[in-house]
Amino acid sequence: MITQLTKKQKDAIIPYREYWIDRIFRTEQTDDEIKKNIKKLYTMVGLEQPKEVWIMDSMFGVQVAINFLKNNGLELSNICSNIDSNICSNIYNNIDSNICSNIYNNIRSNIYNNIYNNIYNNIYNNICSNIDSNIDSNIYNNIYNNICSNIDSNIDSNIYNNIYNNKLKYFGFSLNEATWLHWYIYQKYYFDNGLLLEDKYSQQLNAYIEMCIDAWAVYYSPNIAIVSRKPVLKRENDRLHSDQVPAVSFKDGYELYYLDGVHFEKELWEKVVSEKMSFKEIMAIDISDRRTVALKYNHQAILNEGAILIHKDDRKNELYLIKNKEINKELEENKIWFLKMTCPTGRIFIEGVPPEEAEKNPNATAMQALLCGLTIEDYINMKMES
Amino acid sequence: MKNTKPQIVRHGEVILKPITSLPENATLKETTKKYIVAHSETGHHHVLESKDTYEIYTVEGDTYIKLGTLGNLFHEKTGADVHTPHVIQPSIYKVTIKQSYDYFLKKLQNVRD
Repeated sequence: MITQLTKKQKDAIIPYREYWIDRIFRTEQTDDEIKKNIKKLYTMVGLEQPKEVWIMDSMFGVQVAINFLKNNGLELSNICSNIDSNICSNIYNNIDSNICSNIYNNIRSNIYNNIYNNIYNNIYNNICSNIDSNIDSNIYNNIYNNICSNIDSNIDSNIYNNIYNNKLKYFGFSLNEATWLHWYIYQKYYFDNGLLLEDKYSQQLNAYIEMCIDAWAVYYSPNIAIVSRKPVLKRENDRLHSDQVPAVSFKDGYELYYLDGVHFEKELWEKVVSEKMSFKEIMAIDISDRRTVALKYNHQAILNEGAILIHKDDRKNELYLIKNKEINKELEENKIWFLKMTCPTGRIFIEGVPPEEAEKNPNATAMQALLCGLTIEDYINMKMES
Repeated sequence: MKNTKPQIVRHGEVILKPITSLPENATLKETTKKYIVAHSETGHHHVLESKDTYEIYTVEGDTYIKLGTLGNLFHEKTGADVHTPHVIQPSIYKVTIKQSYDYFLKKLQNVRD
């Protein structure tokens, strides 16, 4: 049983992790190599190789391709969970039991936290799940933006009818890097750093990583596999972020805009980064996280409206009032009340307060309690807040 | 000594308030070990997880949680801006989502993130 790491092994952990995060975001294989590797993966799990492997320029493109094929009567079935579970039971589980029997608990958890968790957080939580959920939730809107407005005049009527008229449906696919690679790179560390001896499982592990590392997202079906190219990503503090260019851009022009990890439609992103938003425009944003980021970029908006601080408390709640300003006429409200508060996470939120309630009790604590659905006493006594 | 008395918990826009009993007309919606208390547009849900199954009830649009063993209320998010998790004591809780007054719609709306 190995009970401690050498200095060399310890020092290798962070660079190892950073190397693999960087590698996952980079494409090294040619299209032909990616196609061959995907076919080999089918063989590895005991399936017949697909006749076709298509490489689309974006995850959105993969969805368009699946929709097109399904709408034209091709039988497709998503077998990614079969593939994943096969790899898991034949490679991961064997290596994992080897790790558990040979490496002391504390060492395992150190490596696990630094490699497995960190890669998962960087690749999946902050990147893939964001992009995937955005494609899932906006897939129909994106038809117009990405197909109709860009290539409408050239688009084949068959594609148009099959995809636009039938509307796009979202089909789950396997996010290889995200869903699985963090497991396998964690295990690979043990072999690459002399903690476990190379064996048949380590060979399979290396082969598997090679097979799927440049396939960003894959729809696995018996006859065909459809793969997405990787996007170009802009990140800061491990979050998708750019106030200059789209934070996510795929080769086919499919782009997504993020600030501090929060997704914005292009039009709103442009407004936010212009730093010229008015208070009214910020208040009209319906998602609080977006409103918060908009306020961060346009912090002058509150001052520009001449908001008066009416009351603040020791829980960082501040009650403001705007009256006799242009915005009062526009919103047909003589008095506009809002709370500005610093969340325990450090972000600053603004939230509207019902005018008749604020008029009766212009107290920041009372208004915060009201918005939380609590009595003032409950709010003051509340200790568990984050 | 740790405080094991159920308490009001605020986790971002989610507020759990312990109550003594369920409303009479509460309907069992589901039993689960993991429940998304508040959905997030960006996928960063507020989630309550317990090692044992617990019950979710609804009545007139309100949600109630009947938690039999300790739960963990956490933010399905990592990196910056994460609400720190809370250990939730067994009890019946009324779920409230924080509200904000919308001056455009002239009404209170649940906060969404």
